[in-house]
Amino acid sequence: MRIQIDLTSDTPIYQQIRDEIVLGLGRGELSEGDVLPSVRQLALDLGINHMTVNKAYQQLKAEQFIVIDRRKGATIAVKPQNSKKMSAKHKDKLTMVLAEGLSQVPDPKNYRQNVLDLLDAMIKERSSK
Amino acid sequence: MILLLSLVIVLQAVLFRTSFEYSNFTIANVVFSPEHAKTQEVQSITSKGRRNLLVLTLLTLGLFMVFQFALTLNKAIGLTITLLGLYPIVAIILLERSRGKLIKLKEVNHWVYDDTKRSVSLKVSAEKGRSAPAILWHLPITLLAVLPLVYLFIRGKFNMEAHFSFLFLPFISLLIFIAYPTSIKTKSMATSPKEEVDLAYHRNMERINGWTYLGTHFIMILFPFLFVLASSQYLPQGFNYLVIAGQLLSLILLFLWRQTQQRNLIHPILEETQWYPNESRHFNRWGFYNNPDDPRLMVPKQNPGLGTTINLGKKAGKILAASSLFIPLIIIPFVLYISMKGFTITPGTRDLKIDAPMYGQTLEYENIEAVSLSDEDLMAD
Repeated sequence: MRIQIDLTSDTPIYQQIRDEIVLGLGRGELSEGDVLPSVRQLALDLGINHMTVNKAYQQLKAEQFIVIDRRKGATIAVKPQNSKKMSAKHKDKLTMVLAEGLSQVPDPKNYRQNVLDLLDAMIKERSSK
Repeated sequence: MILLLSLVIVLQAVLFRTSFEYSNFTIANVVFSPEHAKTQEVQSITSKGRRNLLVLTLLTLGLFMVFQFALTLNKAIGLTITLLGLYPIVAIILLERSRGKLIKLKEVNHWVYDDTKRSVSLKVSAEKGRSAPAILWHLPITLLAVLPLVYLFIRGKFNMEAHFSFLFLPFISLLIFIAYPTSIKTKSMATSPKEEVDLAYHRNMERINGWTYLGTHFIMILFPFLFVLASSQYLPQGFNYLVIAGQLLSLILLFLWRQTQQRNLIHPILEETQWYPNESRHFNRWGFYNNPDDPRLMVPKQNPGLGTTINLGKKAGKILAASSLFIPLIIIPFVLYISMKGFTITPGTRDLKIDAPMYGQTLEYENIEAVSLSDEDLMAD
């Protein structure tokens, strides 16, 4: 899986790295047990400060997408949700994103279809991996 | 003094030379993509730069010598120090000239890179960051190599003839220790047109080589060490046969582990590149290639960086493979059979006839000055 960052973007670089890795997880390009590059190596390859990568990794760790071991480094370890229901935190985030989208479109029905299409495409891509 | 100053110049030359190497996407601080860095124009500029630097270094060193032998001491010291100061200035001018040419080349060819968007493969980056076992891991094994000798000396049992081979152990161990960093560097060919994939591949190979070297080092030292113990009274008799068998088995297992690791190495690389055709289906789990439709007798291995293998699908391939089994299956059992045969010495009236495995000779008594037995067991009998 490739990750891409844009140095001119308004989104902070550590957030971009975090988002790319979460996107990879969502698409099924990254899976449980996959080893992430070391902080220094990824910083070197992307030509950015290693503190930036460290911040992204710490955020992913706090969100329970990865575990960081002193010897093995960062590994994908998504904590599965016990309940079939969406977590309250995730629901809040999604509500905010959907509200942003809805506020900008004239036709809510069309927007609903777009969201469902996007979700279907992601699920399809994930199951094909 | 002159040697010290020459060393300073040589060190500077090495430092300046590294500026002409392609490292971290730059040559002489000018950014190039891996594809552009390999082009003939860029290679020509860098090789000229390196050549000029070499000429300058040789000229400086030569003048040092001339000053030393042809001038009075004061003049020689003065001119040598002047040269020492001039060398980096001229070298920087040469480097800047090459830099200027490289920048111009980029402008002419419109090689513009969008540096604001950066992309990296997570898998490749992870592989690049993993390193081979550190050299310090060899240190305890080297110390273990010295232990048999220390033991023999302390017990006062050291016998030059019987234990001569143990003198080699620390020596071999030390050689492995010193050669380790260069030995693990892979010499295999690049497998991908992508520089970063090659880097990841080579780092991975280095890691496999590193662990194999460490394992071999350990086996080569541990088992002779056990052999010494087996030869003493601490372990039951016949244990030394077990030691030899154990050593062979360990080496075979290590070899198989290495093969498996190397075979597995292709998977991350296959994901990142479409460099070689997918011939995987013709390779069986042991790594043998069998494809009657392929006209080639020798084909690249499943892991193409590791050389070629025989196509067993062809008749000539089968013959070649069978003939390669000749040594292990015929010659080794034959040598073992011969070596297990005893020897006979037949005293004649005028000569002594010796009939031993792979050795036979007739000696006349008048040519024999003295007879001695070197084997301790025979001497005891």
